[in-house]
Amino acid sequence: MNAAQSPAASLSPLIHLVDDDAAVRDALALLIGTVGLRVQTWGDPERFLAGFDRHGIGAIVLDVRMPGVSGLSVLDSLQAAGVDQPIIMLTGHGTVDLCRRAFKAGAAEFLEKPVNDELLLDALQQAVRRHVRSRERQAADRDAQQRYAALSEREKEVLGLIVEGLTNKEIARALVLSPRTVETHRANLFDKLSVPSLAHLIRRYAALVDQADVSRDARH
Amino acid sequence: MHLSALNSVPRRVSAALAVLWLAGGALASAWLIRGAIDQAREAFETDARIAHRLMSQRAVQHEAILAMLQIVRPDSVQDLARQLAAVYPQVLDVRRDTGIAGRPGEASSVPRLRVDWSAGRFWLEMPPLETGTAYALEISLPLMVPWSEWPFGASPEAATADVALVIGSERWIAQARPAQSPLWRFEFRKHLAAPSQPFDLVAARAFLWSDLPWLSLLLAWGMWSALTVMAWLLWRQREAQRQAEALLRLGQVSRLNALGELAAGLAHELNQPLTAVLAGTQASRRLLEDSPPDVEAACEAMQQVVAQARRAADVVARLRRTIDRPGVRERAAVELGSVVREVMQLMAPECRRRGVAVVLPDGDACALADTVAVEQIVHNLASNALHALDETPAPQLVWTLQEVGRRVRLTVRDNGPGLSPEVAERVFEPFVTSRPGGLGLGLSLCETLAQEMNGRLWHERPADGAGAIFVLELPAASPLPEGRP
Repeated sequence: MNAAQSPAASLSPLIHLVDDDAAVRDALALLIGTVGLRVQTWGDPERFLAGFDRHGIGAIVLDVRMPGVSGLSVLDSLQAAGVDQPIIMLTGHGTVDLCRRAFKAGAAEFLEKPVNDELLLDALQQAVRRHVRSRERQAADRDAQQRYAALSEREKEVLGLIVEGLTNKEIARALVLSPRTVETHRANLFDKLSVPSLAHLIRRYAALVDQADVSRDARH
Repeated sequence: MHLSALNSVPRRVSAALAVLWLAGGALASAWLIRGAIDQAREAFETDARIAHRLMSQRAVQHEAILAMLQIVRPDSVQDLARQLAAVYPQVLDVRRDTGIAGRPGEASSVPRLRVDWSAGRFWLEMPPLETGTAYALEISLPLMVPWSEWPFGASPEAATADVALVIGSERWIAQARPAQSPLWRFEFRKHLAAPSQPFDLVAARAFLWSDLPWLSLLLAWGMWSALTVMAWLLWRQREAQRQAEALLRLGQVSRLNALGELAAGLAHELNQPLTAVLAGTQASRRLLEDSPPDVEAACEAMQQVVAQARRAADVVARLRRTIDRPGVRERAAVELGSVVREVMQLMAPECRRRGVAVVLPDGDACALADTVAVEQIVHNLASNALHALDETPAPQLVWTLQEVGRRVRLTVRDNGPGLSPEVAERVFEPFVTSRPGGLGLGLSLCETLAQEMNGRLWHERPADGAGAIFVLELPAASPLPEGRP
């Protein structure tokens, strides 16, 4: 997945609306449009699965009861393909069983038709917010990984000891270096990882250091 | 339950019952025949023992006469022979031989027996005395048989068994029956109790087909058959009732299934336009609340809404046409009491299972109604009451019939918890139910049916508080003419 390559998509979220009934599709699209969200409507679930932009920011609204492919199997296909857009299911009569199956299959929300505007719009806005946040987190993680990979072996060692809470003197003793050299490495680290403070450094990279330790231990 | 399964069961049970009938009948017959044979054997053996005793007595008499002659030693035996023949008809002659070379020492020994088998007589000769005199008796075998006391018939011709006297391979036949194919054969053989006359009394009697206890057998089979047929009829009746109940339940289940399917389809068909209507109106409101309001877009949306509302109305109209209920058909005189009794007869097993005491209306009242509709109402009221009585100790269901002017009232009362005021108020509305899982359509349908028959159906609270009362009022009809079912 390389959402980072198409940053323009994240600017304006797009809602995919899948329902076989044209009247329902149009009315819901109009309603969703009133809060400024862009809507792309799909009458045929197969065509939707083949044609929608999975890297874009937004959410998917799926009708459960459609001729041919049921909403639940579309949901399964989306999950299997690793689509990360939140999915909101709409149904005519929502039994407890149906609801449970939908949530199990990864639906973010399950709403009954006819749906109240506030309920649907709230759910959509929340879903979009959640999606944007998760994409941002992914981008940040990827950035941190790239920066960490660019460090020299010595710098990675120093970073590991900093994360463990050692002082410069202690690090110098542990690595048999002069405290001055350790200080140089430390300054380089802050620069390469582009963090303003020790707190930032630890929050963003502690997990990566732990991962690296684990994989190193596993190799030895 | 599958219908073919219902039909195959009676054949199997009938076959089993037929086998049981045959086996039971055969067993009873065997027992009866065995008893008859045992009885006949016992009678025969008693007869044979009597015959043996009688013949033994005669033989001993012969020994006694000879012994007397040895003691008295008469010189002339002519008169004696006559006198003896008067008392003992079998004694044909008494002989006195003289000048026989004496063989003393044999005086006390037993007499000698000489039998003329073909002539049916024998001589009993005493050994000679020391004087050279010897006495002998000539005995007729046919006359030796005491016919007046004889257990096997009073003459050789009237034989009830084959009787013979036998020594070794020689035999004299006293009685013989004409040959017949015997079913069974009893035999008796015993030495006469007189050493001088070592005859075996041999008797045999055939047990013939005609000796079987035919009357008892006929009676037994008749009674057993009647019993079997009764059991079969009883079972058939119960089976028929079970089938009727099963069909009734089947009908209800399939109706409910169809109703469920219909409801699901209807929900979807109506939900789509309703969703569009709701979304469209809410979108329009938002468009008009915007500043500046987008009147054009809102108008367009409202047009869509109108079309969708029409679409929903069409769905309802189409539904009405599809499930046009076959309501009340032709009305005729219906005997309400009979209908109640028939329906309750069908529900009797369920009532028994729930321990509900049912009081049926006595007498009858004729209403102008549709039998099927009345049956449906009665069944519905009864089944509601049964469910209401689930938690009630000593549950009771009472039907009463009453004529009020030109109208007939059928009342059913249960002693269950009764209806809460909220439910009582709306009990005839569709989809109102106090039963978990109930559809709430039964009473609504019943009320519609009652109204279509120019009648009424209503709920009453009993004066003394406990339970619920439902009253069905229908216009009265003149009673059915005699002879109509």
